[in-house]
Amino acid sequence: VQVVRVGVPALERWLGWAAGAAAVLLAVLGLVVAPTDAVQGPAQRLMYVHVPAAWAAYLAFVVVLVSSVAYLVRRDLRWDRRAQAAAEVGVALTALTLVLGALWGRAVWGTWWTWDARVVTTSVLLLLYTGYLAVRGLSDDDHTSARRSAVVGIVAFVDVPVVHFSVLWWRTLHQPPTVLGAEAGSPPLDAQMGLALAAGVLAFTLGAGWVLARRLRQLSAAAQPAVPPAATSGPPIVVAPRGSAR
Amino acid sequence: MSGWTAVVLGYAVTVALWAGLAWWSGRRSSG
Repeated sequence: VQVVRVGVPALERWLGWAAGAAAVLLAVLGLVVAPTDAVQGPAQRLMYVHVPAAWAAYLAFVVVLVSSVAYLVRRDLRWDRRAQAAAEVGVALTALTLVLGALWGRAVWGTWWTWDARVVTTSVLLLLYTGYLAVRGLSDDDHTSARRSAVVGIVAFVDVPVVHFSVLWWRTLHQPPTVLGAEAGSPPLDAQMGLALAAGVLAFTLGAGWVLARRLRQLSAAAQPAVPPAATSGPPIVVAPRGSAR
Repeated sequence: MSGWTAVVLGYAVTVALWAGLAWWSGRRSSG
């Protein structure tokens, strides 16, 4: 039996190590170095994982959007696989964002769930992309499935800016942006808290890229027809196409 | 629930999710 070893691409390996290193940095900065918040107490430390999870989920959904448009233009199934892998990672991270938000909410708002604009629009986001993954399974034909899911992948993205701006558009319980789009005059983020948040964003971005690369390699391998063992030794077997035999 | 309990649970859930994603994206295709 001949075993063919397929190496892990260098970029993927690099992403894995870099994500791991950033995660260690995040744990040290977020749990030890960053000072305890004067108002919220230790629960605020959830920010260093909650915000990066949401950020990485947004990023994954941007990849779904771009890949969906690219599929519709090029009709190349590689773009469809990119959209699928990104949607899967995005759904996992959106679910994590909601769970972390519920824990944080329980600690500082006194409730696991509230009909807050940010919480509701994020839940809708999770439903939309779970629906996207469900649509992928509706057809056995690869291109039909890719076309339908690309349309859903583009339409679903409309909710991403709605989630982001929900805290500004509606009077709601969730706190407004701390970094991007923070209001003028709002107190600046403490430098050490900022570093912990940056480490979190880095760790989640690299981690999402790593999982995406691995999943993509897995999906591509599944899409390739298996190479028969005879093809690796002995004379090549030439198979005439059907109808060509005389 | 105390703040630290929420933090410990939150970080534990985060580690578990990433471990799950790493396992899931590294699975060998079964068929």
